[in-house]
Parts: sequence; structure tokens; C-alpha cells
Amino acid sequence: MSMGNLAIVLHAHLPYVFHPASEHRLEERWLNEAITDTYIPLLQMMERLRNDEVDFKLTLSLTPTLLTMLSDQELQTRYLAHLDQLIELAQKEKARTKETPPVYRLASEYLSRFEAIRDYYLAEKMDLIRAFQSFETSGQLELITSAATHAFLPLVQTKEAVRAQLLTGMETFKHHFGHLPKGIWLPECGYAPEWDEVMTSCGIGYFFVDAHGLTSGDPTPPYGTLAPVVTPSGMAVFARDPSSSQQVWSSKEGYPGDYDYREYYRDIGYDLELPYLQPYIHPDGIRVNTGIKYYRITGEGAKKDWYDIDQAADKAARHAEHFIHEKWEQLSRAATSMPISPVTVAPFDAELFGHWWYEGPLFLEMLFRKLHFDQSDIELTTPSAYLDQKFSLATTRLPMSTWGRQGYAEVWLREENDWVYPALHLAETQMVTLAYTFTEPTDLEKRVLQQAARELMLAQSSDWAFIMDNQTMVEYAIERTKTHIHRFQALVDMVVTHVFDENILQSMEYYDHPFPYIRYEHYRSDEKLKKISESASKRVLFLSWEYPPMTVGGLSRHAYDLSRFLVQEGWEVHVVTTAIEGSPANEVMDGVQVHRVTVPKPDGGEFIHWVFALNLAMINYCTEQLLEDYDFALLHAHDWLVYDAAKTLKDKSRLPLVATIHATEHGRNGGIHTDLQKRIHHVEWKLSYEAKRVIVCSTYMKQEVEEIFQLPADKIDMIPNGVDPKQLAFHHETMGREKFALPHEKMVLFLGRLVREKGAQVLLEAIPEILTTNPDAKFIFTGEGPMKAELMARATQLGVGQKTLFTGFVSDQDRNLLLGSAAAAVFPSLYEPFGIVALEAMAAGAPVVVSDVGGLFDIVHHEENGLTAYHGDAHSFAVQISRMLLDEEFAHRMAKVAKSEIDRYDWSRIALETISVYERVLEESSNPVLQKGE
Amino acid sequence: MEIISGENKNWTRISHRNRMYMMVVDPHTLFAYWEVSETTKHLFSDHFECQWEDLPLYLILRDVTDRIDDGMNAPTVRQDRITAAHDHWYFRGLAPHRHYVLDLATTTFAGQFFLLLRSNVVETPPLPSGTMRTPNFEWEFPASTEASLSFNDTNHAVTGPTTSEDYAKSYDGCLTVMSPLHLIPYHSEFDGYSVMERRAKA
Repeated sequence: MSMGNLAIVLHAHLPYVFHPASEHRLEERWLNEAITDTYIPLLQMMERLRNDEVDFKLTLSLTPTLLTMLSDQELQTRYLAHLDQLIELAQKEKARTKETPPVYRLASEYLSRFEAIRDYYLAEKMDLIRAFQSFETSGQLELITSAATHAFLPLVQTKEAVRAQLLTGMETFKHHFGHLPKGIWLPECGYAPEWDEVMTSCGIGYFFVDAHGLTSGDPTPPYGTLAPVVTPSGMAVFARDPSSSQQVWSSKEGYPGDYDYREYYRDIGYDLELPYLQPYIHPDGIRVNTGIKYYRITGEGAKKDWYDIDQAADKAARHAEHFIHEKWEQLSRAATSMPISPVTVAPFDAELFGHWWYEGPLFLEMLFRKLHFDQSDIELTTPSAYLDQKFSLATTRLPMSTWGRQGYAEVWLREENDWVYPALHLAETQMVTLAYTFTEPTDLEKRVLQQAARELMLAQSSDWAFIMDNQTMVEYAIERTKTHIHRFQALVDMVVTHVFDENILQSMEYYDHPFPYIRYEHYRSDEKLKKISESASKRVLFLSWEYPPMTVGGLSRHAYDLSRFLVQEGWEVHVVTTAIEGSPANEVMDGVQVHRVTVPKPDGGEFIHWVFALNLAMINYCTEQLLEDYDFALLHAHDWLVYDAAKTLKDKSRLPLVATIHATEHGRNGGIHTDLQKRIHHVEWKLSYEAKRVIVCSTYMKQEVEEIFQLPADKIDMIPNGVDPKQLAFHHETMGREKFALPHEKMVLFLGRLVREKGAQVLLEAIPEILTTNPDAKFIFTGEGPMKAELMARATQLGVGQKTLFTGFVSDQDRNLLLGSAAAAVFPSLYEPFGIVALEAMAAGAPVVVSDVGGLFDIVHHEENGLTAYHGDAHSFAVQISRMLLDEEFAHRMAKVAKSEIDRYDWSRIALETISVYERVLEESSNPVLQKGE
Repeated sequence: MEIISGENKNWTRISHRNRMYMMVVDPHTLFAYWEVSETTKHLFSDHFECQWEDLPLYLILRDVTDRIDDGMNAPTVRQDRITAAHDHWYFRGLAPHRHYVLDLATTTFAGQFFLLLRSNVVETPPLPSGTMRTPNFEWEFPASTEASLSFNDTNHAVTGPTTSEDYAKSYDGCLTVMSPLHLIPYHSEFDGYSVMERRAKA
């Protein structure tokens, strides 16, 4: 039984640096060098261990871009050519250094090393992926994947793009190895808690974070870095052991900086004469690292001694021993205090071993041999072997962390590279939109979408931002980012405009071709619905600042009734309105789809600014969501409050706009007197101007908008407001009448807001005169408003205080009671666009006396279904009210007529009239000849 | 890079959308970038009767840790006056392990803030050592927000339905149904018909 576990994890990664059209790209050398220095030496090491029956365990992540390049036949051939050149150079070096024995020995070593690499490569048929897989099959190597192009996930904006990176990584792995990996190497160990769930949904079993990323978890992990934890969504997380990384990673305090080790920065590619080197460096004479280096680190100074292979090998063995000793101390301390077997995880960049730290593979080999032969306390393990032991692990929420400088994102997000993110994020959201828009693409569209996904992913490689931070090869990194974004945008243009350039597409597929089977569908959002493809011909978008249950003025109710009766007539209605506490943001109410938008604060602290903020929120919601999800036939705006939204959405969607103008600022105020009124008046004019057709509710309103907005008469439709017949079945109540009047008193009822335009003051002035002929009359004023106090004072002044009652708001029951028992209901408005309350009084069977203004004049015909009086004329009202009170039979007869005519205002009929306005608009919009002046 | 003939090499990051996105650099540093669409610029110019370039613009960074409300009253930790030419910003020296949200706002003639763009909420990671700096709130709203926060005239309110279900029920057989006033924004300025002139502030 071991004391504890050690997991060595190597992360092998190179960005996609394949440039198929050019064999001499310096960046492609990165791949050749990594194969020569690291990948094949690691494979050779594993083969030696296997031959010697040394049991070892190693975890290796091979990134999808690296797998793509290692499996590319053209790159395999190019590598062989590169290796042949290198062998030729080593042969020349052997000849050149014959007279200098220490160098000659090294040159000979290089030659035989390169030849062995060539032999190995050919023996493996140039297929290094199969070679790695053979160690997986024999149980020594655990292979894992990474994000598709090594995107730095904490700075990716959308869940969909994270998922596409992860799933493409998983699938590329499966493509090469025939099964899915159990774990993943997060690029740069970049973890962000917001991606926890999407990572789990991609099937990731475990990943790694840097030490601080785990130890600052909440709650604090009980065993520090020596045991994995489980994230909230259920993945296991291993932490990088800080002492292991310090010992190996640090170029100063760590092993690789030992003076006996080979000096990386003294390469013959920079030390020898150019003519001699010419065939082996860049054709343009650019010096490069050849991989042949003769010096050891020696010390701090510039003077370097010859490299001594035996001395370096001895040092590597001693360092391996030291490493084991340190791990033994760490694990033995932990073993006594931990109820589960501790594990030290030592992850490194694979390319450190062999490329940067020449002796690295030897160190690893010595480590594995010593662990196998010399001890039994420390057991080598892999993450999945450790997790298979089913230890009970703590669940912890981890913060964002990386293994970059300072442990967070400063390498990838700073002045040098912050400009890439607005472009990358834009591309992400475009890709997400395309993925759900194109559910059944043509073959050509599919190719474009797949290539767009490739270009986006290539642009996302963390390597470019890293290089920009690192200040070497910056131009290349900038160029790569920009080029992939350009290509992405060109592809987006193709699918959006349906103008395809197959030559360009083909070139892109040739130049940037990782992941042949990439699935652009991974960008498809879970939440987003497929755009509703059903015909839009009967779908209307209502804009109304209020909608039930939010009810302030009469508009809410109008929009409610019209919308639900339109639904009954077969239209689909979406209402965008203001959010109100207690109601959901989205719901279906009587068949109407209601969308309530929240107005964010700060909103400027004044109603007029709040309305603007509401419009912005409506525009935002509609453009980001509603218009994306649904096709509409037209827009229908109600009143000036939604003008900005109506105009902006009309311009954006090119849908025809219908506007209902319920009242005007001019009419409400008897003219325009203030700046605010002027402003609202102007907005009303703009709404009527922008609308294809304007609906008003009375002949009076029609004349008004014609006059004050100079609208052509044939642009206006008059459709009265409606009454729901179901709601007109009043039960005549008499219980509780005594609250308002004595049994013998005749009630004269005023229903409405106590504002100037409703004319309560006119009725009040008429009271003394009415009382002279009808001393039993009692005047009930219901409702509230700014004029209430003034009116009450005036009643006292007139000496009619005893004969008037100001009830304030009354309950529904009391209102029904009053309407059912009133001798007359009076509507003395000075301005009344329609007069719905009068209509309702008539429906309730109350005899009505109304002003000769506005919509009231359309509804009430004098001496037929009610009486009319001159507006603002108290005497005229006194005369008509007195008539009503004195001749009860006459009053009753008119009330009966009124009630019988009420079906003129049936909402079903009004909905049909509205639909014919819609149909006319749609017909005109589809007929260019009829699109006058647009 | 290889040139593909016909390729457009103009670098652009313009999305033609409104957006403001904030990212974590480290426990003390945040980065944000933003874009205001031309449509929105025109709307703001029209509404505030002013050229877009002349609108006063502010970045307001607020600490929304443990807040479940809209964050409007969350403490402001930074307020920076910027110009229309700015499109990104670094906030340094912030407290770790806090949630932040960033607003781009303008001001009204009366000196009140008006929101233009709001960022996503981000969380600065905790410091590994566990040492925590107390958040430092150094700034308050310049003008009173009383108008938007006072609901002192609710005595007239009748209890109306607040959910659509209640509404549907109460609607049958009643003539006018009004929402409780305290739920209605600026009900003292707008009664559903007329906008009242604001009284000059004392």
C-alpha cells in the first residue's frame, strides 16, 4: 500500500501554424522543432521504459490543433524533409568539428540522435498519434484533450462558443483515438465558474487548475492541493502542485537552470557563418535555431563552456532523485493527516521537456525508473486512475484562475491585446445566430458555416494574445487574428446575403482546414427557439406603454380588449409593454403573448426620460429577441409614448406601422401652451407621420388629427372603442344605496377623473339651477383628481355642500350600484376623444346627459338615446338634467334605446374593422405602386 | 499570411449593436469595452436635444455583491467622466471577491443620471491569501434621486390586481380597474392621460 500518489501531466500544444502554400514559414518550424526535441524523444523514452518493463504512468494532453497537424500528410512529409536537412547539417558539423574533440563528440551525438529520430519516425510510418495511442492501449499513458484551438475560456463571451470549443476538442480526440477522453486540459488552466455547467454538459470528467485556483475555493478545500475537489456541477478538479512546478518550471531556481544543462540560447544557427548555414536556415537568410547547441549554461555570464553529456545526464538523475525525495516528504506529511490517499499533481508544458529543457525527457525517464525500482511509497497515477478509487471528495465553488503570470488573465488581457475581444465576441454572437438560423442549410451553406466556425476558432487561439504579450513574433499574431476575423466576416456576408464566392470559400478551406468534420451546430443555443417559420401574415406586434394588469389610464384596457379579440379573429398578437411587479416578463394572457420589459435605472428621474428609457428597453427587447424569433406582418403602436420604439423598429424591420391615436396633447389641454406640451405634440405628429395608417376612435378625433397634424383624410380610419358584451350584464344592486343618498333622493352621477377636461366643474355650477326644479336631486362625484379640493370648496361656496358627495374611488360593486340606480349619469366633458364611460353607463341602463363634444357626440343622439348639452355651459346642462329628472318615462325610454344599440360597440366587430385596416396596409405595402411617397 | 484574392483586409470591430462587456483581469482589475449603435446615438441626440459628441458621458462602476435588486442603489465605487471617443476602460485597484456592474450613463438637464448601457456582472476572484480589502466607496449620486424614489401619495391608491390572473378575474363586471399606484412609475407625473408640469424644485 503506497503512502501517496504522484501524477505527472504534460500538456502538448501548438497553435495551428500550417501554411499549406508555403514550405518555409518560420512558424511551421515550431512544429518540426517540437517533434524533434519533445514528441519523439518522449515516445522513445516510453518505448525504452516499456522494453525494460518499467511500470510508469503519465498523462498527456494533445491539443486538437496539434492532432490536426500531426495527422496531416503534407506536414508529415515536410517534417521528414526537415529532418533530412537536419541530419545533413549534423553530418557537416561532424566533419567541421573533427579537430575539437569535446564538440566533435557532441556533433556525433546530434547526428546519431537525429538518425534515431528519423528511424523511429519512419518505423512509426510518420504517424505519431498511433505511437502515442499504443502507450494508451498498454495502460501507461492517459490521453486527454483540450479546447479546439486553445481558446482562453475565461475571456470567451458566450456559452455556445465555449461549448463549441470544448465539443470540437472532444470530437477531434475521438476522431483520432476512437473514444472520448475522460478529462481535459483547460487552455492556460483558465477556469471561469460561469462555464462550469457547460463544461459538464460537454462530458468533461476532470480538469486542472493552478494551486491558488483551488485553495481559494469556497468552501476552502480541506486537503489543499493534495486532493481533487468537485465543482458545483460535478466535475473533478486537480490542482497543480506549487512545489513541483517551482522545481521544474523555474528557469532560475528550478532544475532546468542548472549550470551543467545545455544552454538553449547558443545555437549554431546564430553562431556560425551565414554561407555555411544557408541551406539549413530560412531561404531569405533569416537565422533560426537549428537545434544543434554545444554549450552548457555554465553561469550567469556570457562566457560558456562546452556541454558535457555525461555530466548533464548525471545531474538529471540527481534531480530526479531530489524530486522524489521532495515528493516523499510532502506526501508522507499529508498521509498522516488525510483520511484519503493524497495526490500530488505535477503538470507541465510538454515542450519544456526536450525543447527548452534539453535533459527534460531524461529527467522524466530517471524519475520513472527510480520510482519503479527504488521505492514503493509513492505510486504513479493518472487522474482517472485516482478517481476510480472513489474517494469522497469535497464540493467547492472555484473562482476564476489561470496558470498565467500572476495567476489570472493579465497575459491575455492588457493594452497589447485587449483590442481582439470586441471582434472575437462579435463573431461569437454572429456564429450563434447563424447556427440557429440555418437549421437546414444547403451543401454550400453548410460548407460556409463550417468554415466560419473554423475561422472563428482559429482567431480565438490563446496563443495570439500570448504572443502579443510576449513581444516576440507579434506581427504574426496580429496578422493571424485579423485574417481569421476577416475571413469569418466574409463568410458571414456570404450566408447572410446569399452571394457566394466559391473561389474564396475554397481558398479558405485550403488555407485553414483544421477539424474536417467540425459541427457548426455546436454554436446553436439551447434557449433560443428556432425562428418561427409559420407564416407571418397574421402576426402583429403591439406597442403599448400599459397593458393589464398594469392599468393607469384607459389605454391598458383598450389594448387588452383589442388584442384578445384580434386573437379570437385568428390573429397572433404580441404585446410589448412595461413590466410591473407581480407579473411575469412573458406570458400568454387570453391567447395574447405579452412581453413585459423592465425599464432600467437610472432613468433620469422624470417621467419624460422614463418614457425614453422604456422605449430603449422595448427596442432592445424587440431587436435582440422578438424580431429574431418571429416574423411579423406589421407593427401597431398606441399613442405617443411608444413613438421612439415604433419608429426605430419600423426602420429596422421595414414592417408597416399602424398607429392608434387615442387622444392628443392639443385636445387635452385646449391648445399647446408649454414646452412640454409642445414636445409631446411634436411626437404625436411624428407618430402620425411615420404610420402607414392612423386609427382614431371618433369622427371628432378624425377631424382633430386632420387639422392639427395636417394628415390627409384618407390616411385615417375611424374605429370606435368597444365594449365587451359579456361585461355589460349588470346585476342591478340596490343594497347599500343609503351610503350615497336618502331613499327619496334622485341620484345624478358623475363618473370620471376630477380634471378640467372632464368638466365636473360644469356640472357643479349647474347644481343650484337644477335644485330649483328638482330639490330632491343628489349629486355624486366619483373618482379622484387634482381638482377635487377645489371642487369641494366650490360646492360649499355655492351652498350645495349638502347636496353633493365626493366619494373618491369607489369599489366595483358601488360603481355598479350607482349606475344601476342613477336617475341620470352626466358626462360634461370639455374634451372627450371617445367617451367609453358614457357608453358603459348606457350599457348599464342609466339615462345619460353628455356634452356635445368629441366621441360623445358620435354615441349620443339628442332625445333618441340620451340628451346632449352645450359643452362648458352650466345652464345648458341644468336644463337637460332637469328634463331628465322631471320626465322619468322619457328618461327610461331613451335609456332603453341606448341599451338596444350597444352592440354597435361590440369588440368582435371592432377587431374585424381593425383587421381590415391591417389588410389594407399589407396590400399597399406589397404593392409598390400604392407605396406613395416612401 | 496568404492573401486570398478578393479578401477584405479592413479591420473592423463595429457590431452596429449596443453592447458593453466587462471582463476580469485579476482580483484588482477589470476591463470593459462598449459600443453604442448609430441608431441609439440618434435617439439620444433627439431626446436630449444635443449632438452625440456633446452629451456628458460617465462610467459608473457599482458594487453589486449580494444584491438581488436592480442594483440602482448599490454603492458606486468609481465614477469616471469620459468622452464619446472612448470605447474601453481599465479599472484598477478594486477590491477582490466582489461583484461589479458597469453603467455608461449620461445626465439630464436636471443633473440626474440616465442609463445608456449596462454591462454584465463580473466577480473579481478572491485573493489566494484570503486577505480581503474592504470595498472603498468614494462617490455618491450628484443630484437627489428623490423624485424617482418617493411614493408618498399612495393614500389615494385602491387595491387593484397586480397579476394578470387577478386582473382577468376582477375584470368581469367591473368598469375601471386601476393598478396600485406604488407600482406605477412616475404616477404623480403621469396619470395615463396627461403629463403634469414639474414643479420647480425648492
